[in-house]
Amino acid sequence: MRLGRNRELSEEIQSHIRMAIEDRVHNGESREQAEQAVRREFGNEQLVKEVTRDTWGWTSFERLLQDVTFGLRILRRNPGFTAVAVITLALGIGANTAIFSVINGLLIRSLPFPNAKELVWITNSDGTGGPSAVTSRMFTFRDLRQYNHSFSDMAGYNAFFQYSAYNLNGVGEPERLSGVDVTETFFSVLGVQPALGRFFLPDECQRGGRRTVILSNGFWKARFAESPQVLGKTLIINGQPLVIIGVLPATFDFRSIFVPASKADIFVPYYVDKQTDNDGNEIAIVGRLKPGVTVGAAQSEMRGIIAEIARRLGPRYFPPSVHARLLEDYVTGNLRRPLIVLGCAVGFVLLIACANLSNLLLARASVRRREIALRLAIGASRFRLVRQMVTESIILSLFGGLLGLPLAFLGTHVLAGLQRTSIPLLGQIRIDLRVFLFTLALAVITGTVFGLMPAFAASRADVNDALKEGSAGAGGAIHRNWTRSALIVSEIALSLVLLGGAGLMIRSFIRLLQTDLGFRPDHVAIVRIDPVMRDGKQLITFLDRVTDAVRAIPGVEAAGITDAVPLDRDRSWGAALPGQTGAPGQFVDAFVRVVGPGYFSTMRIPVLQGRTFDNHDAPDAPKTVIINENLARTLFPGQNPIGRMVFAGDGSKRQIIGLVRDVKHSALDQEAGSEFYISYSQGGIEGGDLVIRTTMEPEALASALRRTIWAFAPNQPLKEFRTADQLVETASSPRRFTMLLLGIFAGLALVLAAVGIYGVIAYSVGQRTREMGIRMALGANPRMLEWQVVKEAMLLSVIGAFIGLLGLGALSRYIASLLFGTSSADPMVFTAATAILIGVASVAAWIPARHAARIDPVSALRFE
Amino acid sequence: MCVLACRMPTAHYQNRIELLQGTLDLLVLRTLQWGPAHGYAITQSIRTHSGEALQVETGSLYPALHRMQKQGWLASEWRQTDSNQRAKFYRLTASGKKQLALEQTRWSQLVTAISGVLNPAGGEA
Repeated sequence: MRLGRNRELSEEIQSHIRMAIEDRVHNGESREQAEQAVRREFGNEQLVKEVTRDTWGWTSFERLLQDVTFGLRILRRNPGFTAVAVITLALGIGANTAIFSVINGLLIRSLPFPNAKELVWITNSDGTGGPSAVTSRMFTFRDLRQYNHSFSDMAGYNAFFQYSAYNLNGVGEPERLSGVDVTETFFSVLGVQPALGRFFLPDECQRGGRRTVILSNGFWKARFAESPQVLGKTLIINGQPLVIIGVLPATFDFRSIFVPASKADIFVPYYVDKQTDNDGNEIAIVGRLKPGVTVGAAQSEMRGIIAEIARRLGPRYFPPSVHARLLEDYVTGNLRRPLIVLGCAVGFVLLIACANLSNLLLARASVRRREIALRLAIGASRFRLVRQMVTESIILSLFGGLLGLPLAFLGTHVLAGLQRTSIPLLGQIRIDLRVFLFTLALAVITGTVFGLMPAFAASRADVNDALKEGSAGAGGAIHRNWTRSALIVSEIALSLVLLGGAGLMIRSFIRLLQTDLGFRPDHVAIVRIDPVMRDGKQLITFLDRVTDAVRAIPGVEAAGITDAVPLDRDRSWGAALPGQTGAPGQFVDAFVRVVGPGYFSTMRIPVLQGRTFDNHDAPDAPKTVIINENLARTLFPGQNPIGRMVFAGDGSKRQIIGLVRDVKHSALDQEAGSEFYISYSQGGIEGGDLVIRTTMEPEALASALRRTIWAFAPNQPLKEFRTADQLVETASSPRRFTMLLLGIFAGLALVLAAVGIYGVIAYSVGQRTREMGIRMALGANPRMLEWQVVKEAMLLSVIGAFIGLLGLGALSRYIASLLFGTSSADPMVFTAATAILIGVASVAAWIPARHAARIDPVSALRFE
Repeated sequence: MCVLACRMPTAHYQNRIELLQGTLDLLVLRTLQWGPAHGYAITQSIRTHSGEALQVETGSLYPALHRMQKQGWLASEWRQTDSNQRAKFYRLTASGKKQLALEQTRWSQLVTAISGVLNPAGGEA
């Protein structure tokens, strides 16, 4: 019906035009003349139709459709403008969507378990630090599980699973699998259902029961091509056949939640019995609260139980303490602040993009002044005009969002695929419905925000002025320039906040990399060796011989064995002076490394006093130990520790033979703790890492190393080949992640701000061509004119920078806890950020200014 | 009260007169009192009767026609013109006639009022 009406209106107008032409022809004009005159008289046909249609009364949907059609037509007519706007928006919206997908995955979406808010992480201390700080002893777990009334069930896994050997043989090249020991109900506590088969039965969780194994989804895919026939087959692991009873679903990614940047191929039962009771703090405990029970209540109940255990077993055992927090808080709690900072940063980028677009629209509105004035003159309401223009900008931003979505997919894909990044859940981020809706909302809000202001400004145009003057005159220009200046100032301010924030993070990161690790990570290869030998003597001989053989490879400078590589394994034992056993607090918690000869020279750990291990430290010789400065300071303040005796870990008395420099063992940004080293010839070692210092790039030696080691142990899996540099990379990865993204956003902000300033100055120079021409004709110095334009931009940037510095001050206080070795008011960073910004702004203004100063006065005056 | 409803194409007409809001309605209704007419005829008629001083812009005329039809003051139908063209003819309805009377009264009051201001106290003319 509407269509019919439209056609009728067209016909009505056509008949009007026809009759007008006929009249003129009748009065003696030529047909051509007549047609031209009538067209001129009639004016814009489309516009007439549109304002007429307006009187019909539209449903809001029809009106929207109309606005959209009109908007699309306008945008199609300005392809350059449209392209710039859409690309700017796509960058802004794409980046925001990608970051939102991370925030969504890590902070908003609950953990991928049913009723994830009931899951609680139970630790023996406040849970900060590596695995030793988050684990408990097995009997603690058993007692807590048995006596509590707060949890429907509790389960756990061995937090040190990565150091157990699961060597897969019998199929192709030997492979070292990563196996996780989990207690019987681990999966049911989490609420995970098997993708295939079943989980462990009670008798399979008893030592001596049937040996079974459950596969992770990734391993099942990689090794068995998702074959359902895998159930009932056996895997030969460490020479023992294990029956495959189940496969985990793809949605359950153990490592990304519990141990980021690790891998988990298979799951085996974790025995809860007398034997594991003797282990140290090894079990990480997860509980599922009964409905209605709070974390706090559960914690107080468990503290009561722990106090009971302490009474029963005496104070010799670990601190009678227990902490409970929501599992999701444990997993992502530390990331809240950096992610909020990143979210704000990327939001700033979008705001800057919006400011640029507002400026573009303002510039275009002055080109469209006549059109707008005409529409106002023939009775279009201001509201209608504003709505029309906002519709246009929303169309733009929807296109931007559409183009930004693939960018976001790409960004999300890159972030999810980051290797060696110890950020939980990162591998699982994706664009889901919520992210998609976020993008849509963002596009609409963005379009409204940057479209509204120019639309109001344009609709305020004075009808008379606009129609009377043939040119873009001075009227209203002052007001509009003021708006544009305000936009530039805010762009500069936002960019400065970002630049300064990124600067602080970058400086922190540099400081972090400059920290004294206590060892030199460059040119060090790390090869895992798990010979799985029951006989201790045989194992020591094996390790000695492999180390010697590797030292003989050309290109190898030094080699040594350790069972705990720095920044990788975190295990601590108690150390105490003789005669001080018993009372809590007398034991110093110290990192312990069981190492072989050559370890210190390979890692370049400086020996300050005494000697390192050699053949004096034979299994039957007096037991020896090497300690670090920190432990020496703690146990022997102000004294020479060499020759003194200590109780170290296993309760044996050892004589101190050497003092070495502190090594950062758990994290780059934490002070090194107490450490001691014992020789593998005198302490239990099951397997370890061979560290090798090479003269060339470590990777170049990989094949020679494999050949050499396989000559001794043909079944040894050697797929895993790491470098110490990679360990440092992983250890610094959460910071690098924040720093890199913040840096990218700051760069993007800088570019957008520069483009914005360039645009505004170019526009104002363009408008003042005539003025410039006159001044040049009157003898003004082009250099002076150039300087005047640049000065204008610099003034704006200085105002913006001032506001930005205030913002930066607020931000830097918020991110102070994310910084390392850098003051939140670092004057160098603040100065550099300000200087860079004002410099970039000046250059962006200088380009159009130079252009202006080269105007030929004659052509400038002819212009218009 | 001072938004313009009607405007001359610039520079072509020397005696441009700016019309007050609502005046266009009055002119159109009055023109149709002589009988049904199409849009082009209405503009021509207003132009001739105003001594070429008033040129109604199509961008004002057609919205006004459609609006008044919607208000029920006008009715329309397609007919052949004298020169055998198909055109949409508008005619006054009963309520249109009432509206015309109302607007005419209002206009006279306005003229009287303005004259009173221009020629105060019975005036010197």
